[in-house]
Amino acid sequence: MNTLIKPHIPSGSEPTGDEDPTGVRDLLSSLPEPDPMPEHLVERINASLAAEQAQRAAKISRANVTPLRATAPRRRPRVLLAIAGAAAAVALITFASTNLFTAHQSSTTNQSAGISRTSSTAGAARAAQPSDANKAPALAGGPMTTSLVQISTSGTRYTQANFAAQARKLRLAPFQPMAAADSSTVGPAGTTAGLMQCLKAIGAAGAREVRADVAFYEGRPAIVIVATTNETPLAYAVGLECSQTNVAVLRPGTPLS
Amino acid sequence: MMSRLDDLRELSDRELLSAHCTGDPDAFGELFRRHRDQMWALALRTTRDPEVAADAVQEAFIAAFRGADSFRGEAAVTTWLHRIVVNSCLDRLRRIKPIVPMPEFDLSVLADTHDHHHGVDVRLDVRAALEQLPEGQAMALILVDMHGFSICEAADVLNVAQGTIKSRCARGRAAMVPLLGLATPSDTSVTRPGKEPMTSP
Repeated sequence: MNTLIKPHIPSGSEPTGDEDPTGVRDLLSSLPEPDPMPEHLVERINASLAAEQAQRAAKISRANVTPLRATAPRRRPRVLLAIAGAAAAVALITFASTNLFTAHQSSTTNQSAGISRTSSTAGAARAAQPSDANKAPALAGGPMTTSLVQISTSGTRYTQANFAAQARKLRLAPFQPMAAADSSTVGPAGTTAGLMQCLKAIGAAGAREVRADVAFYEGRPAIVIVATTNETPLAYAVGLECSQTNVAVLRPGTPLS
Repeated sequence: MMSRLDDLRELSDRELLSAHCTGDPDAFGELFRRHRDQMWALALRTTRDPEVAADAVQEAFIAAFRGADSFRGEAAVTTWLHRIVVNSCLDRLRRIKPIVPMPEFDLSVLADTHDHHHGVDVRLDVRAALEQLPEGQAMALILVDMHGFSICEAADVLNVAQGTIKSRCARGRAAMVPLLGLATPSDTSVTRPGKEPMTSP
């Protein structure tokens, strides 16, 4: 196990450079090596890589799933499970429906926010089909996935050191919706449609549940996003300008275990 | 009997990357373990800020994970990783502080004539001096002089010609001299520790 940083040894026999009469090269090469990567950073990156691996595995698994229509009679158990899941989601949304609406539309008691259907839950989802204005826009190039999108504005000052803990709180906190008037001033990612494009840009397009908070990250205006895909919630911090063409990541995906 | 991790440690970097591309769930982790300290050192020296370096190196490894298919194989895997780390660092630095064009010559106006090397942390001086250099020169010195890259390897990482690296190294070193208060062989003003520099008559 390499616990020391060894100087990079050039691979070829080529000399490292011409003569240096200034002495700068000798000075720079004599500087002590930095310490090894801090343990907390090792853990953080390992966790991110594990989350990436989980997402990769999930994508491969989804790609191998046979479309339901072709095998519906034989896949009843899976359909039932998926429908049960969607029904549970509908029940949750109905129960909490007074608090849910997209960023650009006010809510009424029975309207639900940002729900779109999976290809395998057509039957159950039909019962909860929202109006087009509330639906999270489909992302081109991939299957529509169930996604609950909630955007709030808390003004919380998220920090690098406490990000994971703060993001967990966001995920579990009662939803306080952002006023429609505020969303238009936040930036591209302040609306549901814009946020979905931002999610696509940062590689979280497949998330089935999204909590977003217009706040601050390390003193900068930001949107903190907790995107849950296949039971793995990941927290990101992005700039307000985040869009499909402008990734603006301030903090890459951090797993919330 | 060797464990799976032992098996992975026997593989070369190329074999690990190839295994990762074909779906091995642990191969990239071994690549990360193997090279994380070196990439961290590079990020730290490039950004000169531990927090920025941490974000940049994380972003770089994630980018490498996702973009492993893009590795063409002409250069070493470490060269490819170094390139991703450098780009991630420079992207972050540019977002934090936009690049202000600096003249490549006559940086002596920024030189501090006091001798800072006696009893002072040279690393801080070097960091401050590197920040005064144009980005290209600073990166050339970081890779060649601090990390021991060959001119060829540095050129690969920065995606420029070898002659450009040599030129940037020469200019960067020359620019660092007044910034660090070093005397050159042709310099008749000699700086002694603890004393004001003597000027030539």
